[in-house]
Amino acid sequence: MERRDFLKLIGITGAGAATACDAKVGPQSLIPYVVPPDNITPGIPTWFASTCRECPAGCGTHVKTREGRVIKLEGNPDSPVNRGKLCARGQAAHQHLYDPDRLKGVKRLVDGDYVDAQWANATSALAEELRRLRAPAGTGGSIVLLTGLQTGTRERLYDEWAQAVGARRVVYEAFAYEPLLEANRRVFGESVIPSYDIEGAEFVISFGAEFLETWISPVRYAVEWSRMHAFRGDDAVEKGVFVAVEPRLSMTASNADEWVSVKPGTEYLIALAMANVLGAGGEAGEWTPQRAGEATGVDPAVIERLARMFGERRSVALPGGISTAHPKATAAATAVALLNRAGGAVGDTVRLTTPVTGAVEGSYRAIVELVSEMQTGGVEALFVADANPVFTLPPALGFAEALRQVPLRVSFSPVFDETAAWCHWLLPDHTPLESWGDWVPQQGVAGIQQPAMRPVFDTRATPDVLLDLWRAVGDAEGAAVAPEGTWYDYLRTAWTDRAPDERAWAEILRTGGVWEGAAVAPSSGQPAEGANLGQDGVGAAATGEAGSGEPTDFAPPEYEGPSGEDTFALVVFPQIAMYDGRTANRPWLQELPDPATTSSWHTWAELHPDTADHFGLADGDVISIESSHGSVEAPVVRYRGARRDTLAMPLGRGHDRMGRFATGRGVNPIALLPPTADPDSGGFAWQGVRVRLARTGAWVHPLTYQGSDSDHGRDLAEAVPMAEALRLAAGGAVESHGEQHIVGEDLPLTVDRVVRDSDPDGAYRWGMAISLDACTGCNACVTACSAENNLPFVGPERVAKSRFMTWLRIERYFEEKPGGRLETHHLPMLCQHCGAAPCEPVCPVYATYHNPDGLNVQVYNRCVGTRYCSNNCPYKVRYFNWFQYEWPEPLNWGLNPDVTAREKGVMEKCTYCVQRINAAKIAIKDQGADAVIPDGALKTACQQTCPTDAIVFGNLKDPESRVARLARGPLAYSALMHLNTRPANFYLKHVTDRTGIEVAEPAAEPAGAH
Amino acid sequence: MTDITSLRSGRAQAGVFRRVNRDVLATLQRPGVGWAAMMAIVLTVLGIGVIAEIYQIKVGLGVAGYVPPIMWAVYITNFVFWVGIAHSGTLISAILFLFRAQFRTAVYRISETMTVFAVMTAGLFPLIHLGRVWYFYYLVPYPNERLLWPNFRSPLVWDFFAISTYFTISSVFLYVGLIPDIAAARDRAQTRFRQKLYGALSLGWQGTDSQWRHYNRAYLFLAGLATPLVLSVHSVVSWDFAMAIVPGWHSTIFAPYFVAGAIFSGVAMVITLVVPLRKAFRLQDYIDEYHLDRLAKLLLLTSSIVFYAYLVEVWTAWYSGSPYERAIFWDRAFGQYAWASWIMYGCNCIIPLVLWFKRVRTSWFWMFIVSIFVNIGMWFERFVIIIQSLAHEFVPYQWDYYNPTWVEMAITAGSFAWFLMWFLLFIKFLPSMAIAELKELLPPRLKRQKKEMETA
Repeated sequence: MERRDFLKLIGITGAGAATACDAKVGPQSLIPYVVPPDNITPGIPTWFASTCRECPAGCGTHVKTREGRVIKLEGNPDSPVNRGKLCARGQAAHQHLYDPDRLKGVKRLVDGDYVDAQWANATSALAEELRRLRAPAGTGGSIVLLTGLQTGTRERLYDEWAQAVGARRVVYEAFAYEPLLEANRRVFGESVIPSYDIEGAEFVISFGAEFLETWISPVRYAVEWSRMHAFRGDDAVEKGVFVAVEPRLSMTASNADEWVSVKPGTEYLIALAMANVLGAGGEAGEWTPQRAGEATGVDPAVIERLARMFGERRSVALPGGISTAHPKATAAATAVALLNRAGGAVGDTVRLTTPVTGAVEGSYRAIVELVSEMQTGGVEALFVADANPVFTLPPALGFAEALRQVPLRVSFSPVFDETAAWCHWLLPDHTPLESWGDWVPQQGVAGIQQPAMRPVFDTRATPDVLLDLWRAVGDAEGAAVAPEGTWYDYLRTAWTDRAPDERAWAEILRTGGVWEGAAVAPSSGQPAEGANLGQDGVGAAATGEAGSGEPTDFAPPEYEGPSGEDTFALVVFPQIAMYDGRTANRPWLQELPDPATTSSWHTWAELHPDTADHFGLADGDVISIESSHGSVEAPVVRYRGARRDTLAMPLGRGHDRMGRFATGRGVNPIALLPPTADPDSGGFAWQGVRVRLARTGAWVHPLTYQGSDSDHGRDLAEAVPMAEALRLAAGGAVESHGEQHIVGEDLPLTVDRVVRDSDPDGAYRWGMAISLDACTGCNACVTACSAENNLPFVGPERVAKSRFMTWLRIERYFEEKPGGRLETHHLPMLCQHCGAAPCEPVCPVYATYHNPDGLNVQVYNRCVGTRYCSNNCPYKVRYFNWFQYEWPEPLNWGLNPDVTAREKGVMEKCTYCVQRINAAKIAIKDQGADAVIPDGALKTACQQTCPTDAIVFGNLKDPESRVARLARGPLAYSALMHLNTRPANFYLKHVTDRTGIEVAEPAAEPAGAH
Repeated sequence: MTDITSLRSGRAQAGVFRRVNRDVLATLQRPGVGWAAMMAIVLTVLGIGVIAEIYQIKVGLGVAGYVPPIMWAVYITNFVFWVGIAHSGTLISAILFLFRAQFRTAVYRISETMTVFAVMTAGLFPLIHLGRVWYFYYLVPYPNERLLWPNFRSPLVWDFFAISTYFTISSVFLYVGLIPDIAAARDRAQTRFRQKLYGALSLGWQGTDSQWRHYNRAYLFLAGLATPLVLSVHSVVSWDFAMAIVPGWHSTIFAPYFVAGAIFSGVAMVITLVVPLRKAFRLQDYIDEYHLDRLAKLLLLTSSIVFYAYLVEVWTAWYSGSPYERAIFWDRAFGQYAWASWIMYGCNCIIPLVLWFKRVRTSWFWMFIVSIFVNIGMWFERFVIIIQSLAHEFVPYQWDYYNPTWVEMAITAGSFAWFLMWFLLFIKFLPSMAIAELKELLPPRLKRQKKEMETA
């Protein structure tokens, strides 16, 4: 062949190939933006300030978008609520946005089937109905708008709309905390939930308030709690004490310095007796520690000791959660209020002047009334928004059956939930990440909520739909004048005071809200300015003048239901990932291990191991749980934090609608509950029944993450008594490590040694300092890591085989102290980036190696999957892709484009968010070749979201960095130090023994025992 | 007329050489129904195993029962098991040859072929267990433009070399030993195909003096070369474990312990194969109680070593003071995997104690039973070492329990089928006993006559 012929041939085939490729790919995918959209620079994330709407707490968020898609949420550091932090639910919020089972457009029920409809048709059809049904404006006719708790402009619109179209509003929130409002009205004369200054307190006692998990504003309280409580050894100032009085060792209680286990329903008697010791007198006077001790099963000496501590220190008592949700709930909340008053906390750490939202007065009472109205046919049309009462109400109340009597039922739910399934019209709302809005979590604090991306599906903001209806109806009657414009215009108008001009508005959109009266300033230790001490504080209220003065009967509640040896008091509790069930279709949250039991994906029944042994029940044995009102079946989880006389079940699962991840997972324990309310406040009694258990003979594989619940005395989760920690922090010498380090001599493992495991000419040796004293085990970091690093969810069948893929896991270990006291250690376990990493030499193909920054890196493309590295990793933090994990469309829209997707058959693990490290390095290059990333400028995803700042990441090479200072501190140690792997993660010991309980030598575990 | 009571006794009569040829080569005759039926079963099982493997490649390794942190399981158990089986072959053929142990003659061919096929089986498992088997060549040190080489610090790379070396040497050794016998088969081949096949394979063997002289030198040389491999290969395999930090693996005793265990399991497998083979092909005259007794004694010896190693392991764990080591061995005996451990201890230490009785050692039936138990016991030894150790490591949060799935069982059964397929083919195509060496054992006629005259 001639050279020319050859070239011709190449030219022809090349052109042909190019044409062929072109035809295949299509023209649209290769043309760059001619006019680039605003805010979108390919490869550069755009951030929007917004407000998290996963629960009523209203945390401020920064929403990270890439190329117009939301990929991550982070806390807004300016927000006084969460101060830059988010919980696991907040971190998974965009799995709601990308929920593959969301309603994709408006639907109408025709002959038992849902058919697609048009928004315009829906509006006109509904407007016609409304015109037909409407009562004279303001009289509250047969139209009901049933919504969940709303606080901001949306609340106003709902009210105005209801008034204008002649509807009645019913506000129903599953966790409405009515008893707290009622008790505060009785004691303080104000039906509010005060701000509790946990940060400023020295002694916090919680009566069933799971304030680190779900109670009112968990992230806010977790931030405050850590500032009050966490001892990191960087100063020698004694930190506060936290005591939890609960019938079950919840995650919150597991972080307490002392867990006072009491009979369910009697928690408040402790508060009462404590108030009594502190001289409260009055009704509390009857409840001496002795009498309370008898009723609760708690040693009176303990009550007296706690009362003394409460009186001596700056204290706060928290009512709430499961302990103020039984037929005597108002009495319970009153008792705690009395304790706060007797201990001088009111006006100091309990601030009535800056109440928080999150409670709904008369919520349950209103829904009960609504049910009876519906049953009698008094409701002609029901519009439901932001609530799922069919799921969260006890079936015995008959809400679903009553719905049948309503001729027109309309749902605004973005997902096809249990309530939507009863509706004739489905008008899906935007998810919070797609819609405008605002939220007032506390007086003087308003967060703005702005859409971070265009709607994924053909949905419409419910306020827009309501405005359309309003205009359509209002015009016809000429009664009320509907506002012009859209929901955005309405919202913008409502914010005119705060944002008079566009400049101010832009600033609000940038910062995420307005925090005028925010309690963002660190607590001064003094009573808050303007605290109404004189009005209804200690002085006045002590005589009962400020309060309403109604007498309170403090006799403990009767639990109804069967009695006998095989019956138990049932404790139903909100679980950190599921809340009231609204987050059930977020796979990351379904898969998130429960901090207490490490269970996931199902509803379990917690039994104390002794109780389980008594009935011959092993983990996974399915039992039937029967109350007088219903029965459910659930597998047993043996849990040392359960009481022997109770059976506890988490709420939130057991959906029969909502989507592929929620449907059929677990059972709903609400089915066991009677429609009983606390008569004083009208609040629903979540507690108050006894159940009978019977084994079914079935067994399911336990869906727990943990192998053993004890660390068997190994040098993993270490603890040090407060007194010793103070001595060390003050410069005291380490006496002996003999007991802590089991094998051989104490190996000198210093920061300086670990720093040498990186390029000597380089500027960095990344490392972490993880405080076990700060870590609450809340798992927010786990979900943050999942979102940042595209961690797949694997599903229950694979969790059963321990094939979870969370690069970071919180190991929960119990330590039995003398006297049967249970001490819980939460140990975040992630890749240690060892200097002498055992995984590295065994890889036959160099898929894992050490990089110059000291990182232990994994090369996915080189990995062939021998899994030898995982065998040789003593920390077991390497995760293998057993399958090609899938992201059902559009869940894959939320993947982080900066992080490689992993194929089946390769190993993966924590990278210390290497993509963030690299981004920071690139950014710092602008400042010169020698510029070094400043300490604190770079945060890993887990560190960023950790509400308690338990994780500190940084450069160990910089002796002034926070991480290096903490790692050099007196409490630092390395996990499994004797193996000499030289981990870059330094743990700071858990600081225990703060409550004055006598410290005895821990009983040595017999050698050889496992 | 050609009554051979015993070759060893040296009382063979005229025509005996011819009879050796005839008897041994009779195994190469047209297969009967039994052989065909066995082959059909074997191929079916193998087919199921292949389907399971294809399924595993397609869907991912998750179809196997792995439960992290148990990242190695039945596949690696099988790998070590088959490598172990491979070892007695070389021991019997090479080491015993160097020691001039004459009882090896009757069984060494079978054990040598067993070696080669067992290595071929073992070699599959490191591939089967890979997460991305399609990139298995990353383990091979081949030149490439990125200068990416395997990590020579990794015991898995040592494994690669050890196994491939062992396979090469043992195949060559087997083949060299076969040459004179292939020539004998060639001379009696009935079909054109077999004449051609044996003609090519026999490399023109004529049985001349010079050929025999070279042959003997070569054989001795290869025996010398193969001998260290017996020790080295399984030592390297043991280092897969001993070099790791896993408690229960990280032990200096592993190399000798694994070598002894390998010989132990290999001898048991030889017995398992020889007993039915002898019956099926009527080789009672060539393989008799004398051979059995010797093999049994070898079994007893290696069993004792293994027993000792077990005891030393427990002692070391206790004496180390390490809570991790102690916990492992406590858990091994009394934990979740106690059932497997007691199968191992029972089959490898307790049951072989019956070999102290000569009546058992010389009983075909009982020896077959004992050998089966040892096979099972040695499979479970690897199962326990690998899985139980990984199940109970440093971090108690990550303790777990593993169950194999049908995929692993099918692939394991398939590996036995794969091994038996080659073995069945071998016994129909090549002499399964060393004809030439059997003949060597017959004392020269003149010498014997002289001896008889003297005694008379």
